[in-house]
Amino acid sequence: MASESISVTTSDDQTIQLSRKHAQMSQTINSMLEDSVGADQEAIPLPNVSSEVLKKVIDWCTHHENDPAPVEKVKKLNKKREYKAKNSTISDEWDKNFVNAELRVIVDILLAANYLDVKGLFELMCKHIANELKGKTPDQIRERFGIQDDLTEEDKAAMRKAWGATKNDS
Amino acid sequence: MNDDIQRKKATVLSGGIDLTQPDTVDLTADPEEEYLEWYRQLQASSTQAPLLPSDVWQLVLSFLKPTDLGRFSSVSRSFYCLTRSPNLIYRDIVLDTRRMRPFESRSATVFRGHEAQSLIWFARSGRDSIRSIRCYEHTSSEEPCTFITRESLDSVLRHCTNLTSLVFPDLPIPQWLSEFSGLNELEITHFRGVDVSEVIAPLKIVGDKRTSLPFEEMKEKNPIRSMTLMGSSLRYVDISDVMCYADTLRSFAYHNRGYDLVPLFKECKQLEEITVNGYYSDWFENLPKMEHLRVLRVSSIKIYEKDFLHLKGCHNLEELEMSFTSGDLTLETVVDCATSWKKMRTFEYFIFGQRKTKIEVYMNLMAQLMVNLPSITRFGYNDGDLTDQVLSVWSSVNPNLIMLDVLYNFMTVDCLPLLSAFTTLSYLRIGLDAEMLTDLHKYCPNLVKLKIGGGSPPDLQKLIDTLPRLRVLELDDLSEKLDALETLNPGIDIVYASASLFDDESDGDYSE
Repeated sequence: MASESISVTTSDDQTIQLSRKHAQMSQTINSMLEDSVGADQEAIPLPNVSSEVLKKVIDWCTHHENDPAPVEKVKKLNKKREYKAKNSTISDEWDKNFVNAELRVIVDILLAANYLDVKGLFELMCKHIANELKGKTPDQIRERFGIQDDLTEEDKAAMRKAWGATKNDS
Repeated sequence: MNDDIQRKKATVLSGGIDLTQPDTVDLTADPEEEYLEWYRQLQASSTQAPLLPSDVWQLVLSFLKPTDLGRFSSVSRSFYCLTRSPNLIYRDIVLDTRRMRPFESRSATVFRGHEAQSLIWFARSGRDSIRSIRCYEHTSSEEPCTFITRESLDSVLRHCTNLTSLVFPDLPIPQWLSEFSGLNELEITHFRGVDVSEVIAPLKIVGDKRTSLPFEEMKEKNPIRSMTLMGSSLRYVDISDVMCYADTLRSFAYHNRGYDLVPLFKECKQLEEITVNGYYSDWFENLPKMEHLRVLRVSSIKIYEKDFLHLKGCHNLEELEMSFTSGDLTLETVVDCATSWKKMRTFEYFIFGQRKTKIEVYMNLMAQLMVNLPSITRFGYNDGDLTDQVLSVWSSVNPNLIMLDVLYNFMTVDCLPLLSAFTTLSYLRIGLDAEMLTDLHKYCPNLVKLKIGGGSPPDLQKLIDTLPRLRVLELDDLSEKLDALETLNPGIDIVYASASLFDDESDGDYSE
């Protein structure tokens, strides 16, 4: 019988126990488990995830452990073949508190969710970043995300030629 | 609005670039190769986007709407490149020169006319992906559309080889239109000050030695399903030529006067949508039985009881929008006919005439009207003061209204709390005094779109602050002072609107 908990080793060399249920919410760990059936149960290495971030991921998995499995949606254009922005509303109050963190932490969790392939968490963090971008001017976006403005005057002129809104937003 | 204000507003909205000045951007040039060369260099020199891998950024951006994407693209070189993803390219572009600022709707991105460049930019990005371009004109005939040139649109359209929908007002339609093999929606309007033969080129022109396009040949290529005719240029159009599309035409709109449309309607038996604006009497009763008719919009037409009784037979009507002067039509007849429209979703009934019924009787009939229209989600009505009695009945019969248009009615303070019974109400057109507007959020907290009549109330900012979901605020006011609202509320579209022909399909459905 499979063990009820899984050991993983994080990038800062910490060994952390995960419940099998939580481990299976990560497609990455799940695949590793399937590949190692019958082998000795050694700690699974997660070189891209720190213990601090993994604990956050586990917190999220704990809160959402009874959620129905996410359905893979095939993105289709509607009959008018329109582009439509996805819904970025975060409705779960717990999730709203969860994303109320420093940008560094948010980015780390997002990257971890991407690496671990935890779909619900990944989508939540993407929504949060998108919401952070909404309504902000380019200057505000640069300031919030610490981005250098590397657009030259020549670039801006070319963009203006293609689209006359650059100055408006910068 | 005078030229200075117009220009100032345009300049503010376009961020200091006066796009109305011809020397700012050369629209006549085709900078395609130049642009592509620059973009290739940009791509080559652009470094990895910061913080997140590009594929993750792409997923983040898929949650953004067009205007936010536009801002994002101006952040840095790498971010500009990110927004070129085919997944983020729009299929449907609306260029609406009547709006004072860009806004987003469920189905489209809408730009001001000043931003013809935007259209070019999106078209260049989208190329084969773009299916629909719709351009609307300014409502005021005193302000000709000067922002879009024939050359700039030619430049755009040359790249959009898969267009299925094209709406052009005030603009010459290019001669090469017939090359669009998949075009199934064509809207034709007039063009001031330009040879009309260019404007209506796709239609055969009669009576003035003007050139014409081969209508029958076009029919093979373009199975047009939707056609709108408007403007004075229609005098050159022979309506019988439209009839060659009788098999394919499903939607027909007509904004003019003088034509006898009955023969057309008799020929086009499959018509599902009819829009008619302009005075043309005695046509309802001559209509054939239109079993397929789902949508009927009429305005500025005198309507008689016999007309309405004819409509009673259209059992598939889902949308009826009428703005008319009364002939001998009575509300009793309307109420009676409403029992036949089991599928009705939208009912907007604006009568401009004298009510002859006693007020008590009239109130009961208004209440009964809603009882007879249980499936509607969008309701507009202007003839009769709203009382708590009427609103109580309305809310008890149909609490699921999404849109309520009572802009021209007087509503008492006592009535306001009754609006809270419509829990899904997201679009409200209403005329209230400033004090009542202050309390509006208590009863309609979920409003997404609000139109206010009667001038600008004193504290619009407070109104916006108390309605967290508000995305569109329409005002019957062109006051320059309201510019500040736009600056302070980048997420909300402040629309200075008066009567408009614009068919905003997204009314009542602003869910993201």
